[in-house]
Amino acid sequence: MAKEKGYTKNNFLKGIIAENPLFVSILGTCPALATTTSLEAAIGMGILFTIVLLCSSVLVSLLRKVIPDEIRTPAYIVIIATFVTIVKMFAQAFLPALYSTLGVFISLIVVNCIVLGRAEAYASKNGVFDSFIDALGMGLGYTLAILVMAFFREFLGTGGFTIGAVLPITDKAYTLQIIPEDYAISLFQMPAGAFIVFGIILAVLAFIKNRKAEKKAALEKLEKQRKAEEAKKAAAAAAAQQVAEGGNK
Amino acid sequence: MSNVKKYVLTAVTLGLIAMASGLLISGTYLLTKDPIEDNKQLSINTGLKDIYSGLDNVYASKGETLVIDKKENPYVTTIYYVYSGTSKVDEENTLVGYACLTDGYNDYGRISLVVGFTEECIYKNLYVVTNEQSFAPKLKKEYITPLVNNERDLDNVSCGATYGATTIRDMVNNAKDKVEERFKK
Repeated sequence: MAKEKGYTKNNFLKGIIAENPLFVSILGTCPALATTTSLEAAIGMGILFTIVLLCSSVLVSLLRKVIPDEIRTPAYIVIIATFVTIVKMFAQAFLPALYSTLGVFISLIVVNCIVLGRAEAYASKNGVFDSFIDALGMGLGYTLAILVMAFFREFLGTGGFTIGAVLPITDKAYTLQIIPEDYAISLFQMPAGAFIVFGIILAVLAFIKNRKAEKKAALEKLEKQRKAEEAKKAAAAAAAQQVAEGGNK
Repeated sequence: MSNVKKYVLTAVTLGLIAMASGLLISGTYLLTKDPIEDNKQLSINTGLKDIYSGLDNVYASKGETLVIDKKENPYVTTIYYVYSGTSKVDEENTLVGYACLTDGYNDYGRISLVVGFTEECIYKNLYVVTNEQSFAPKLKKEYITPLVNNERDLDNVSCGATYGATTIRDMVNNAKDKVEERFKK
């Protein structure tokens, strides 16, 4: 079946904006709330999550005609768990600081509904390339969403940003203190702070969406009015022409 | 007959997927085994340097590997002799104490610690090697950090992550028991 023009681009972008798994579908909130205490931890979580999502989506798509319907879910769980175990071992071996920071949340990617959701809803029905693009978009969308949350939580909770403590970017950890530590609101580093930040972001997004919808509705109304006026004018002109023609006769 | 064929096919497919997963995980395990072990050793050495701070070139000499027994010894896996010196054979190295590597689990995840003792088997301090508790940041902030800085009592476990703190207390007490049992004169 021929695909419409721009399908791949839309397939990729939908995960980042229109169908963002965290901010639009409200999926995968548990790790999003738990691992967003620092920007570095969020980057690490986002990368590991995207790798698992990419690998499992590609493999599920490859095996979609082989796996019988009756064992679809267990087979997907086995595939996802395998990639999570592999990613966890690599993180433990080569990113020990990230491994100990994320702790149990790396293993919990197995039960993240975004991964199983994409396998079930998309990869099992589409080709390898499309599944790869979809997973990449969803992974990036999730990563960007948790980065936004981590930005506010780290900044408000600690008063600055730390680089090099979790990811081996620099040889030692550097902290950029923007506001004095005494003025930082440590609540934002706690689970309650995560819920507050998440709630505010969702409210802002809902506000923007509603504004857009209102604007669209207002434009449509104007357009309707304009069309009605044009039709009225056309009708009046036709009537005038008829009258003129009648006079001539 | 067709049902049997279908069942067999389903079982074979799931079996093959599971086998491929097993092979992939085994391969990754072989690839990552050594770096993980190196990280653990590095962490233990860092822990010893932290615990015995002020002493020159502290290193651990492998002592005794213990069998984890739910009743007798639920946590301690290894007891090290801790020396200060050059760590070269035939050169003078001084015994400065004993350290226990302990592994603990509870419903909230795994913790492993290095617990250091003086030569007289007096508890010195601890170092966290892994903290995979779901309340890890809370546990670290409210219990572990004050404990390491001698601002909190080991038995005062009410901290908002009480399960984890209780496990740490039990791990330290288990290590204390094992060290005293072996080395107290």
